[in-house]
Amino acid sequence: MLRFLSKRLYRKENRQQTNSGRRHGQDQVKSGSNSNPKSGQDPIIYDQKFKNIRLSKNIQDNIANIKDSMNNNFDIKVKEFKLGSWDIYGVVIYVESLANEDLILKHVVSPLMLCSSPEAERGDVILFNDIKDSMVVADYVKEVETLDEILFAIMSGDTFLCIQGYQKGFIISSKQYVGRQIGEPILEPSVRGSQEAFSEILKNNIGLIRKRIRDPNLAIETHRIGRRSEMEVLIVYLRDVTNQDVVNEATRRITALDVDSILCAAELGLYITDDPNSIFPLYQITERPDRAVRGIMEGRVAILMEGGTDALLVPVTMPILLQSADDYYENWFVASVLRLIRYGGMLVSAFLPAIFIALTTFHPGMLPLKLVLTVTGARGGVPFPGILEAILLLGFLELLQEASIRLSRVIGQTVSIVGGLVIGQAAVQAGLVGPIMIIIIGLTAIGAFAFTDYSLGLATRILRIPFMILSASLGIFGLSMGMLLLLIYVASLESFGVRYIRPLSPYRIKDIKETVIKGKDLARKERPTFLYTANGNRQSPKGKKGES
Amino acid sequence: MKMKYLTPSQILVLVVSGVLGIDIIMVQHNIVSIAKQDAWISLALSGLLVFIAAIPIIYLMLAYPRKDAPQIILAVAGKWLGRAILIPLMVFFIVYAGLSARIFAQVIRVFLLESTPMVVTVLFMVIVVIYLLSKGVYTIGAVLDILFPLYIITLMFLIIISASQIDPSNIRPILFRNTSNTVKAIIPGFNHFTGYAMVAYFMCYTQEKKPAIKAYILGLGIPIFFYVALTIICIMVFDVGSLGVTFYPTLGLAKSVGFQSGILDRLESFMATFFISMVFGSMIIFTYGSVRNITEFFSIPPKGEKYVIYAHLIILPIVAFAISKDGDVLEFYRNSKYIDTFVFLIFVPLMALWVGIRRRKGRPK
Amino acid sequence: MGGYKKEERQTKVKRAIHIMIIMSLLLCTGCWDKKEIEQWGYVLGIAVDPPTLGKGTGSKEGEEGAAPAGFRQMDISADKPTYDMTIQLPIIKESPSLAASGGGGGPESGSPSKTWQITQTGDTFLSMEREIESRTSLTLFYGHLQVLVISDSVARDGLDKIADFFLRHREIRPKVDIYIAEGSAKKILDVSPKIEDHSATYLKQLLMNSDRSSRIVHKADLRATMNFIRAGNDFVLPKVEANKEEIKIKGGAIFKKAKMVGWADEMDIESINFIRDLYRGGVIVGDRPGDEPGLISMEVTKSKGKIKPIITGDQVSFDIFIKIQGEYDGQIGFLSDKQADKAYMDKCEKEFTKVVREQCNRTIKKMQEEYKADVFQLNKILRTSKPAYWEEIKEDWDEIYPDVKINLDVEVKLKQLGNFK
Repeated sequence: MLRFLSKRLYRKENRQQTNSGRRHGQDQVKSGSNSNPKSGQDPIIYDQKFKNIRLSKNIQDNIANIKDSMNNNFDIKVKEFKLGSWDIYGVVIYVESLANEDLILKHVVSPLMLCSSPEAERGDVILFNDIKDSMVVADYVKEVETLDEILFAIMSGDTFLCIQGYQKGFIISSKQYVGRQIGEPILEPSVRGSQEAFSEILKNNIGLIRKRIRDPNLAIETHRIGRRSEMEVLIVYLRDVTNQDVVNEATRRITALDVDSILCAAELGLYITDDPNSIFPLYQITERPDRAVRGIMEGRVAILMEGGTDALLVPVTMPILLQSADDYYENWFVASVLRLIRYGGMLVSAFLPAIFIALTTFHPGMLPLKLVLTVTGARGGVPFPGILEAILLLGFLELLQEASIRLSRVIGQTVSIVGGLVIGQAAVQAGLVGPIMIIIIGLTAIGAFAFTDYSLGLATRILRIPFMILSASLGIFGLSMGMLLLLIYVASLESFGVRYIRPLSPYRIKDIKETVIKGKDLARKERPTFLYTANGNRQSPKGKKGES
Repeated sequence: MKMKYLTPSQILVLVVSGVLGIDIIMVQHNIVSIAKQDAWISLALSGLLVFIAAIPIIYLMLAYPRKDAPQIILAVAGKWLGRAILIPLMVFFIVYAGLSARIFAQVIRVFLLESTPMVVTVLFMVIVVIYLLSKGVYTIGAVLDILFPLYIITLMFLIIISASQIDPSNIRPILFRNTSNTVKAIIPGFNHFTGYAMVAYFMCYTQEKKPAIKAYILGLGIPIFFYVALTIICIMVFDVGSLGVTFYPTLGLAKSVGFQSGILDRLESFMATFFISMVFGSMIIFTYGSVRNITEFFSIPPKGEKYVIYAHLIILPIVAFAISKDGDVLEFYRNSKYIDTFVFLIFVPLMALWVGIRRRKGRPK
Repeated sequence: MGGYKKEERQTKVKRAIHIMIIMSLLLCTGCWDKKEIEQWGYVLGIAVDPPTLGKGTGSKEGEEGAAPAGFRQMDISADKPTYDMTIQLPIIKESPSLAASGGGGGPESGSPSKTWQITQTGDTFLSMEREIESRTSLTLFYGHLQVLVISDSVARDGLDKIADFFLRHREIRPKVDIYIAEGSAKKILDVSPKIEDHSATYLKQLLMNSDRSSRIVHKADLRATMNFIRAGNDFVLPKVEANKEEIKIKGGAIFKKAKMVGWADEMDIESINFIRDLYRGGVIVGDRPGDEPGLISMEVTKSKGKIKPIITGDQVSFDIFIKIQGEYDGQIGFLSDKQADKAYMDKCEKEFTKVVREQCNRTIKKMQEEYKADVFQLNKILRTSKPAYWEEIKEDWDEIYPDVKINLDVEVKLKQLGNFK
């Protein structure tokens, strides 16, 4: 608790100094920050210390210097070679596990080694700029002089090229990270539409988005976070649509971060959320590029990060979290009904056991006579009070769920069969729990599976217990007061300046058609107004093309 | 980026929630005991009176678009006279909110929880109210917005399903040798519309005044409709004799309507559950009003407002339990409303008049 | 930095508030009203009888394993008990799967009783209720009370004397049906029905068929009855008779100002339903038109009854219009060989009209002369539609009613023919 608290305060403190946010802009290579406000603490590794070390003319010095700075690790490759017919030596340094070795040898080293130019015949000395301009074939080639830039480039997979006799060197792009290629969505499967999912490689991910938005207005801002991990974070949005306030806010929160490392977007979300105490997700995590694109098209901001299969979408509201990718591939009416069923699932998942407990232990009069007699008969010899019975079963259910996630799929199935059938059946037969309670808890679990957003599902799973306790102590009155408390809490939440329950309140039919249910596709002409987009029209307001 | 204003639809919701509080479960009993089978006429007339009484309020709200009620009062009536007018309002709002909680706890006791001490129910309600207050005006707007359809649907549902039980002859004869009683019941009827003026506490947060005023007027129509409709139905179902001895006819109505749904029986407990949100709505609005009154009365800076809110955590339960007998509570509650009626029927029109005169005088200069 | 500090202070205050809320919620965790669903005893039916013990009769005959008299008799301060109250509780078995899987006792031999009738003698119902609770392991719950059966001797004494407990009770709902039993009311609850599990639910379900036969008094729940009593109206309540396995609604009990004055037979009930516009469906039987023997019958699909007061001078009379629509249902005693043409139908209509008029006239006469009970609620019609006149004669209505002239106008229309010609 305390650690958590201090982390939160720490972050807040950092937010104060947005002006001194480090490493801005689209420049891939760090431009260097001028001052480190907390130099007394953990030093930022590429700063200060290496900033003043410049290259020397002697490449052997340079090699030693660099290898030294990198602890002589085994995967740092140093390859020396002779430039064509000149008697000049050059060297390339790169990290074997991050760089594309093939590319370096073919397009950097070999042109340099094989070059035989008229200048060489004449005995002229090769010009430094010629290497950059006409010999090396690569994405980009950049001149560098100081060690900090060089080290950072090498650590991110680029190659450092250094020629004897110059106090300068080149950074040549050669990143090739190992990782999975595009996979299938696991948490958010869909029936129709794209079956692609983000993978751990940022370049692929941005490609998945790019190939769906062929608009020059798609803006991608790059930031780096993590003092040690220095991972790339991309803020993706449509420049002429998205509300600039949201973009600024996201940028501010990301650049204000000062942590060792953040490993993926899902983790990043916890650092930039509006309310770290909220059990409800205040940002949307998705592994589906089509969902991310739909979010961007709505005028929201996508935040992508190296290392995870997730993208964050902000701002988000609760109704948006209950949408599914499939909604957009079905008829509007069907999709609306499905969405409403999902709302029902949410209510069932959070409240059903509590309602059942309240009705059976406090208000048997509210159930019709036959049901009362059935329930009473079914409870028969159960030795526990209803609340304990429910909590026992719920605990069992959660355990089962947790166990089957951690296990491999093959064993997981066994666990669910053993858990669901054998133990459940045995518990009923032994008279430890009543069959009706099994039905109720089962329904609850099914309700939670209707969620499209995993984190929201987790939140409702957590909510069940306090609601059950409330209804076991004050009956339906306690339950409805608890619901009111929850409603107040949810209504007070905000996600990047947008209230979490919009558009449920204030009502706006068009927004509700856009989010809570789905309007006719041709009639959905506007973007949700609560996002305050710069350009609110999704379709031409007049009608179809050619009509007027 | 944030919603820094209330929309007209939220104003409508605030108006309706302000008026439809605990009163909806008692209004029929109170008015029928005076006006017999013509109670609904009295209520309709009181409704008309509400519309008339709303005119000076609208005028004042338009004259001071960026001020809420206590600020307007202080601005119009001056520092000392304004405070003198604020005192009865301050007292009334606290009494209203506290007694709402108390009376509803009594209802809960009858219909939901028999042996749970009322302290618990009252405290719980007050805590929730304070929690919402601490979240600010916009959250209040949002929460009531979501609760609103809930209780409108509940009331409509009640009206529709009790339609099968009515005996239309019970309402006759209309106005037979009963006119004086009917007229006599207008002011008590008007008392049940307390809260129609509460919009003055929220109007300053709206962006455009015209649609907001329209929403206000429309919003006044809704409680009038429900009062009259429910009273007519109650008279038709219960007859005047039985209605005179039923404390909470609306819930009694739910109790006597046979509703065989197959899943939920015993409609009155169900209704009582839904009425929780309704009573909660009016409580929150009045407590908010009380917080504003006290803040302005003592000129507490905006920062200190939250301490005023937390003070209500103690004040409201004390008010709720100041009277020990249930019957006395109902009586006191009924009578306390004359304070509000007095202020809003006499002082507010006078203030509006004063503003009007001052403006007219000011214009030629 | 100042902003940061303020923010911190605010979070501290917020946290304090949160903790306070949570603490008070914990304090609230009381469970005052908590009771597991199987700990309630659901009272399905109540029977009210005159006291049997006071007369020293001991346990009644036909009562198997009856509780000893000492159990039933409660210590009361008043001299003699005033009522016998019998409640019916369902005996709830564990569900079959539980019983079969060896949870509790196996299948029991014979057909065990599914209900338990407990009789208590005492002075007030509340004290009797609590006294019964000292004899059961359950807390009595009245929310599911289905029927109230009242013995005629209690009813003759006045329903208003006992009604308050049932009306005021917070669990009993005003839609509970009231039945009047001739003799012992407990006997009705003692019935063990064939299909339903409990006699109370069985009795409740009987009214379901009131749209098929209007010889049943329907709309006789507690609320309606109380409204009648409060308004000073006369009314009828259904009368029930029972043997060991069956209950029948047989006619009704006539009440005059909360006091029962006599019985009405089924035909009377039908007439009352016609006149008071409560008719929901039934059959009319008449003689075959012409001289040949045989019976014809029609099923009533729609009936409209209307009462109109007419004041001439200071005399009042009533015009009653009954408009009946229906379906020619068939005949008995002969087979229709010729076509059912218009002439035949007209004759049938006339015959049915005659039957209904005679039946209604008989009932009106019976009510006016024999019982002097205004079960058609003419006084209410007078009060609501002629308030000025009613104010004058209000006091004397009881004397005026038996001699009031009532004109009956019946009109029967056969709308549909049914399947055959």
